[in-house]
Amino acid sequence: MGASSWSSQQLTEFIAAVSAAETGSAAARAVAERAAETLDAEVAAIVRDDELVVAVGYPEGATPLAELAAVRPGDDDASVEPPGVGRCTAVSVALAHPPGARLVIARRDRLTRAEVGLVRGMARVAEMTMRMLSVLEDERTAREEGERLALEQAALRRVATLVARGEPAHRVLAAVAEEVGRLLPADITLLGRFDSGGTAVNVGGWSRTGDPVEVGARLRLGGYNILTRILETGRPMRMDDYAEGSGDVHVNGRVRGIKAAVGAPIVVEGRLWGVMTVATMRDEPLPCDTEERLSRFTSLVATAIANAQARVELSALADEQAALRRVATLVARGAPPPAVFGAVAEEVARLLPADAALVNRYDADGHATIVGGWSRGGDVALAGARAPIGGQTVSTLVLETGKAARAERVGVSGPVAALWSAGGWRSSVGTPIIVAGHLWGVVLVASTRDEALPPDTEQRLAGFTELAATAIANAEAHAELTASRARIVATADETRRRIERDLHDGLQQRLVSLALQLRAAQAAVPAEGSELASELDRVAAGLTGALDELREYARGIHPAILSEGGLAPALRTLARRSGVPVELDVRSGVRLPERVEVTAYYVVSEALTNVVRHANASSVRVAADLADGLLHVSVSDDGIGGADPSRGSGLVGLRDRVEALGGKLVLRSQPGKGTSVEATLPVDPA
Amino acid sequence: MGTDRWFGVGSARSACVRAGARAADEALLHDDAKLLVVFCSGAPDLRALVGEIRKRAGDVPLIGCTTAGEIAGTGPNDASVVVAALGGAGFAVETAAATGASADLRQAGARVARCLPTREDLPHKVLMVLSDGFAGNQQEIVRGAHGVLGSAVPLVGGCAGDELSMTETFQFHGDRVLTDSIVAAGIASDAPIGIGVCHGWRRVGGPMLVTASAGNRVSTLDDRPALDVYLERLNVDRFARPSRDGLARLALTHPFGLSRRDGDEVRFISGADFAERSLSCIAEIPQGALVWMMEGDASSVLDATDAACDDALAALDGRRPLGMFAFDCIARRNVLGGEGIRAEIDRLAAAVPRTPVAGFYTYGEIARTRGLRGFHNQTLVVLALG
Repeated sequence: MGASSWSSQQLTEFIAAVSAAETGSAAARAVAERAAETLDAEVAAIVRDDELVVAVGYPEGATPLAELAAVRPGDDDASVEPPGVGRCTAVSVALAHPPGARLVIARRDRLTRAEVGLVRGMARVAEMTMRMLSVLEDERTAREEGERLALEQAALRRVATLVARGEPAHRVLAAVAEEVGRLLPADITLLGRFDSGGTAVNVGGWSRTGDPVEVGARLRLGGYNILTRILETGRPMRMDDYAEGSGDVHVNGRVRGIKAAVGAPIVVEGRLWGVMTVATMRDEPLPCDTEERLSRFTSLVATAIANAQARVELSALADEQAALRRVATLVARGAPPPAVFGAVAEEVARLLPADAALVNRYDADGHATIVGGWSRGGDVALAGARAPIGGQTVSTLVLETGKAARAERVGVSGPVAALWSAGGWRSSVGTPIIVAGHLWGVVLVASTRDEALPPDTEQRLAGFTELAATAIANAEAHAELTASRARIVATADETRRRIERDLHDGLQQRLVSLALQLRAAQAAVPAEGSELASELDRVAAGLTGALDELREYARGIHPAILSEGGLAPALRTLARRSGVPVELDVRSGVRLPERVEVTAYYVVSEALTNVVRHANASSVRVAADLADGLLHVSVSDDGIGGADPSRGSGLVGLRDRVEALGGKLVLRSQPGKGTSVEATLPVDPA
Repeated sequence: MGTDRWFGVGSARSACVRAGARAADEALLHDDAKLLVVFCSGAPDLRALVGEIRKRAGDVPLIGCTTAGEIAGTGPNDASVVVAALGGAGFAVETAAATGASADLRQAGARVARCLPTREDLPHKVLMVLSDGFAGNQQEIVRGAHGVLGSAVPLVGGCAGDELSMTETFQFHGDRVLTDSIVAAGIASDAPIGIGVCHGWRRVGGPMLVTASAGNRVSTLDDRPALDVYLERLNVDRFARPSRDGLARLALTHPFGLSRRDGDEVRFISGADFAERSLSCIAEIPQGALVWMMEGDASSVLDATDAACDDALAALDGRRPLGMFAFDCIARRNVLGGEGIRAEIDRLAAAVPRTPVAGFYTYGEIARTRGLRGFHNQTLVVLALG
């Protein structure tokens, strides 16, 4: 066989062998080995100046890169000297791929020209094959990386959607655990939160087998394990051989069958919150990029947790605002203080939360009176109870210091201790109610739990205490105003009654007397003196008319029938006199306080006058009824409606009068639907 | 220096435990043995045999294998045991075994190669490898071992046999009896070591082009089913459908040859797939290669014996060898016949009179002295220890 055909035959076999390689490194190795085999070379290598791609002929780990790199293409005298082999002449052929690489062949006897030609052919095959494989590998790597990234992005997006949707943290944690477990892939994912006191609690997890992961399980930290190390270092942690660990966390992992694991810290708003751990039950360790991939998910977990915390805080704030608003609305509506105190007690107890709340008033006689109370079970009847102040109680402390105070069960003594033990209360906080600069009372909350009430309790109570104080101040101001208006009304009524009496006893009696004298004088005049008699008749008639007018006037000032017969006959009189037919429905026959009867009378009187003047009504209904200590009086017509209360002063005056008695006056007058005036009057106003 | 090394061979015409003990006792010339090498066939209880031999030597490192016939200075044998022992301060030996070799022959080769003693004072080294020829492409073992040792350390050895039943071979390491394994002894000596390789086969007829092959399997030659082409070349009616045994007999004396730089490399045809009509060889046949039919006769094969011996001894710089190992292909035995192999052993013994010889008939031979090629077929490999 000639040299050239031998060369082409060898090259053919070389191509067959090298082209079967599946990776660039396998191809490089095949090139070196097949070249050494074909040429009986002592050394075959692919080198760059600073990198050994592959070499055969040297003992393991002892390839001299510099010696091989020094063999330059075209240098006929190049040689290398492998240990134990001796000097070998070397040839070198540049390769287009990998860039800057050369194929170096060395043999004891110099290569023939035909063999050097074969080496060049081998070099061409080598560079083409390695380049092609490199491109294919790049493509495959890019494709795999792309697929991997796409899966990861999809998983991240699903979790991020949950986070953005504001799903509850426990659902986000469960979803993250599963996504991470499936993606990496792992057999178990665990989410642990660090607690104070050197423990970690399991807050979420996933297992490939579907076995439940006990959420809420608590593990003591310490020893050599992932959770403890991350708590110590704040950095991701890997255990490729799980047998090396120690401590409770480690034992728990071994019980689950974990062989290798990686954990990454979860840092929420700059604070180390917990750890996400992925673990495998297989013998091979988790991939080297696991930490990095895990960290992408832990930052989402941190966001979800931060969101949830913010939401809880926001929601607490919103709850507090809502509670304050409800109480403030009561206060603004002028609800009676007992209603406000009850509301304050219930709202603060529910909000904090506490098991009971009280509003106590300090009385001048050294007692405290419970003016409002609420308990969770509803089993503590509190309002109205009085107890002497003293002993070691929050009420006493607040009274003594004028500031917020706390007490634990151990410190409670005095009369209130019994109340504490009845409620099973273990701790209490109170804040003072200051009205117009004076200590009025205290708002107290109590808890049956072992742990003390939160440190911000005093601050949160303060808002409610202020509202209670406002309600009290309002109520006191309102009471004073009402009393003064009532006094004014009463004085006016008294004056009117006196005028009516003076008219009745004085002027009216004198006129009656004059009329009687006139009748007597008339009788003494002879019949033939008819002109005088007629004159006297006219005077007498005029006098009677004046007397009637006077009576009518006096009745307008103060209807005597009211004083004499009460509201029912007075209303009947008004009905009779009305220019519009009246349907009267009076269900109360008892006498009521004069100011109530007078006010009711004037309401009906004024309303009827308005009906006649403005309503264009065909009938009107007047009703009066006494129920629950309130007198309800109403006048409603079937007229044109559309009355404007501001137009005349009559209604305004009535409203003043009604409110002076602590009552209410309501006017309804939609156009076309008639007009009704309703007054509610406390029979025994506070 | 010569007195610091010794080499002994013992043999027994039986492979029972007692025969093993006798052979070991005969081989153990001194009490400072460094290595025992055991070849045997037809042993009723391999484990007991190896255990007994090891016991006689007192836990000396041991490698060995089953064979297709044993070689000793007294002649070739079947169903016998041959024990070689070497020792003395001039030798350092360590042994290794790699099990489950077929999973990764290259790695197995690398693993056993690491046993070579790193003794600067004993500069002459060789790795003796005994492998399971059924485990796959044996050149991979050579590549793996060469990757660890480099070009400076030669490899010799052979593939274990099973008396031509071609089903399962065993390798010995210490007192373990293994299969699908490679065992090796790394030998360092203060005296030169010589290796000779020769086969004695020659081309017959024109070349055939390997048009489809993968690894050791040849599917087509000249674009026709490889088995059909092969049988045609041998003037066998392909419709006569030779039996598996018939083909095996033909193959022993009619290997393929591949053109190599220093001559032809022989490829033993180890079997055929009669459905696919493909051939399988004991080593790789690259696609695109030209292959020749090879033939040999008693004369050419015996000439090769002389050549291998001469080459091995030449490396000793005229020193008389302590002893020799012979790894001789079972195919050569078939060419030579009963008388021929007797003559071959006589020639081996005569090459250096009174030099102990141990060896076996193999299913493939290992010899790497230069370059990277190291697996041979139908070849004689001679290792001379100076």
